Amino acid sequence: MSCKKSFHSARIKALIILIAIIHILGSNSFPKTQEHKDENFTIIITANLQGLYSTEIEDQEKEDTIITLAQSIVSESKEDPFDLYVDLGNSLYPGALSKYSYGSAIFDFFDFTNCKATVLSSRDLNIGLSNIELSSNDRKTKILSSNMLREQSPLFMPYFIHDFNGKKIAFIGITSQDSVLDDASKKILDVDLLDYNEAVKSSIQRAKEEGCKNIILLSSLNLRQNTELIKNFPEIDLIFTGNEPGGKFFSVPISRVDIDTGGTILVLNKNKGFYRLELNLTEKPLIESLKFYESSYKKIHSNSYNNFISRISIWKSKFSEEENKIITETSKPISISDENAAQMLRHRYRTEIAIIEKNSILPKIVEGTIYSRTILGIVNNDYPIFTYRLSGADIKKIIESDSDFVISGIKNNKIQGYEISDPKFYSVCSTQFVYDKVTRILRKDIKYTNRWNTITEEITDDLKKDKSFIKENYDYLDERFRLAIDINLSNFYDKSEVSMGDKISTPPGKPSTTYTRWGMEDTINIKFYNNHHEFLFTPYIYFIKKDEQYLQNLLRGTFLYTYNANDYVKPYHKSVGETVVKEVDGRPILVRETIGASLFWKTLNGKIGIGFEKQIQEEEGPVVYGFETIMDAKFNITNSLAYIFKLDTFISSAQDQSNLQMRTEIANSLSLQINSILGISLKHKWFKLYSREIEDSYKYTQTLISLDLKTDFKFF
Amino acid sequence: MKLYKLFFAKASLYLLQVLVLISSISCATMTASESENKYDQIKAENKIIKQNITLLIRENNVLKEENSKLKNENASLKSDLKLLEAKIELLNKNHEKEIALLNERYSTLLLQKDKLEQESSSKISQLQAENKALEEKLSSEILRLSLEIKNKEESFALEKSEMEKKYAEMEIALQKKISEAQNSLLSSQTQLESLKTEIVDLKDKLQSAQKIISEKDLTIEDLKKKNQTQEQNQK
Repeated sequence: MSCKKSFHSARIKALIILIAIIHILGSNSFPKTQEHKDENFTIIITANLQGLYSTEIEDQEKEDTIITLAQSIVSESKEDPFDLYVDLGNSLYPGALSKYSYGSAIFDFFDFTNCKATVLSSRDLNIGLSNIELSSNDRKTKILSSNMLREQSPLFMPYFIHDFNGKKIAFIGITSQDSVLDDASKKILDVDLLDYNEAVKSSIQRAKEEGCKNIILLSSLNLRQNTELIKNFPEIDLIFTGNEPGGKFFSVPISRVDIDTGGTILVLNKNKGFYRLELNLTEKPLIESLKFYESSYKKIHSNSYNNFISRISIWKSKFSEEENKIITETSKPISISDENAAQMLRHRYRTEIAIIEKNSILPKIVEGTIYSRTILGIVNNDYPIFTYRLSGADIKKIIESDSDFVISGIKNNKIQGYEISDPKFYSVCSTQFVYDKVTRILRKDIKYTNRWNTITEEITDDLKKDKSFIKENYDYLDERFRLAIDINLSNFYDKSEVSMGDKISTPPGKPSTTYTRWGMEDTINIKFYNNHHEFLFTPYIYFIKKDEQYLQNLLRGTFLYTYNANDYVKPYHKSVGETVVKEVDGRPILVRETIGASLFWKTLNGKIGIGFEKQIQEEEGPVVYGFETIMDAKFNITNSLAYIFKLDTFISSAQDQSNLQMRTEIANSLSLQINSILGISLKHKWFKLYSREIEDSYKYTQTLISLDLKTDFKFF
Repeated sequence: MKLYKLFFAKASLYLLQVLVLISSISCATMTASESENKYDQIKAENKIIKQNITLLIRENNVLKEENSKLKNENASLKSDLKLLEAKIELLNKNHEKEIALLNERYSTLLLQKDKLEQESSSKISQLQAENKALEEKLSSEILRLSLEIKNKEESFALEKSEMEKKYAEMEIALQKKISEAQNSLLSSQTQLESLKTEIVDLKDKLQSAQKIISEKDLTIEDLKKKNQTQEQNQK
């Protein structure tokens, strides 16, 4: 019995010793001990982690950037305890593993390192808002954003309050105003970005109501916006920003800005380690010290660490299983960049130009097998692809805007070998991110079609079929034939009624009889073209009827072939057939064949050619040879008002140099554009036919105001 | 008028046709735009749900693997536990056997102890009796010896007083002799002192005599030298 008793007492002693050891160890770990509590308020800060986990499991504890950072933070919490750890955002994207896990692997890191909160930043949104929401559910680490709203209330936690020795400090999160919400989230989740000034104002008010003495802003805004905030709200003691472009002053990188009113902006954007900030909170927060510690391998012995490593290893093994799918093979090394992606989009959507943001693709040389993970590792933008139409003027504005765009399809300010025409519309393909920037540059809404695919999906799909992404030459894209139709319908209707007795005479300038006059001048240009050849078929009707009399009765069909040789001179061949719309005393048909050259200079466009014409029906006439001169020019007076000039002459004679005729038509018009398809034109036409044989001429002038309907379509 | 009516009828018919055409085109456009919006809405929902499902499936796969790992660990821990339980049972059995054995030993030891206690108590009483006898013998011996010491002390005190008397007498006689000797010493010291002064005088006299002798010797030497030089000169 006594032996049993001694055995029992030994167990109790062992238990007491174990509890004592645990207590001693526990008292030394995060958070700070009582001894440290009376000292400065210490914050650990990380930023721009970009989800940069490696995808290798082997040696990950020594080589993986995020894992070594986790080790360093945990080790710091034991060696020199701190009060709080926060992250300044841009932590979820574009790391391949983070992308694969939709940010979940980074939230595992935050959970393990006891991160209190992370700011929702612009690049994080590439993951997709609903995915971020889902990944961060039931986590210790909260997402901060006071200006991301859903149905007028914050989507994430706007701020949190930290109690330090009885002092309440509010940490408010602000998402970058340049953030682009993916189209699906916009459509389904009804989310919006509130103005940062309003968001900060309401958060400060609420924090003060909760008894906060100190306000710290965790911001992903740029330096100008941060300065504006600290100036507008003197209650803000400190702003921590991890935003990379936020840390520049006149293009010079800076790390700290002290404002006269007492606030300070700290730019903390290094990402291969953590910042340790010591604040004295006796009155206004005073920065005692700020140091950056580079992360390095640290041996950690704890169950939570083992669980974290095990979780990340599983993520990596799942990533390898799924993303090790072979997409395609290349026989020789190919250098890939943004240009390839933009050209691929042009190839896939048959658009004239494609625009993506710079660094959407990390430049790389690929050779041999291309895996799914290769694509995941190089793509830096995961917004959906949009297609839309932009006018030439808009495209010029975008080029001049000096945005970080990579534009494919424009060479020497030409699209598919032709000068960019201001009024002409071009088909464009871009990411949603670029589309949003374009709408901001042009300050207008542009109708778009969402293709519901990301660049990653497009590249994967393309490499399985066409492999346009890894082509070395994209000249074939300019050689593709396109069909464009321009419609110009100009119509008028004039009905005059006159009733008068037999005794009264017609007042001066007034019609004496009732009449109805209506007319149309309609042109349809059907163009089939590529960078070298242009085939244009133009049906043209010019028809004016007054009562039963045809004042104009022309139906013309023109077939024009132009070879796009260079910018100034282009050879052409033209076939014109003319007849009447409404048959009056038979149907005369005139044909004219000319060859010549089109000349271009700024807004002037001229044609000089030689050829022949012959009336082939209803009084078949002789073949007459001639010289044609055509000129047209358009001058934009304002954005909506333009002056258009057209000259068409044909000097002809029979083979024996008899019957010399000169036909000249000059049209001057002033066109006012009401909207994209409707306009009003004031036209003046002058026509003269001179025949030397009879030494007589026919002249005709006409002035009319018409309502014009203009529209154009591009089929492929 | 007829012409006018005819034209009006034609124009109305034409206008009606145009209106019908326009309205049918606009209706078609509206319907197309509505269905486009709906299509986009469905596509958006589909995209979000697809991504969410992918995320959930991937998270689920990770958790599944984690779960299966934990299950495996749990199973191995369970088997370890069973092994340990078997070991504990074995140890318990061994322990019980050992306890039984120890209990047996303990009881035999208890018996031995009782026996030894009995044996030792008889021995103790015997030793106590012996001790008592020895103590009695020792006390009688002490009494005898103390009487003897008393007698010896008394005879020694008597002897001591007699010796003291004798020594006192001897001391007086010796003191007398000492005083006489001291007196003779004093007289001999005075004699010695006078002799010492005489010696000193004599020493002085001797030194002066020696000086005279040495001076005489020197003069003799000089004379001898003079004599030698004279002799040499004479030669």
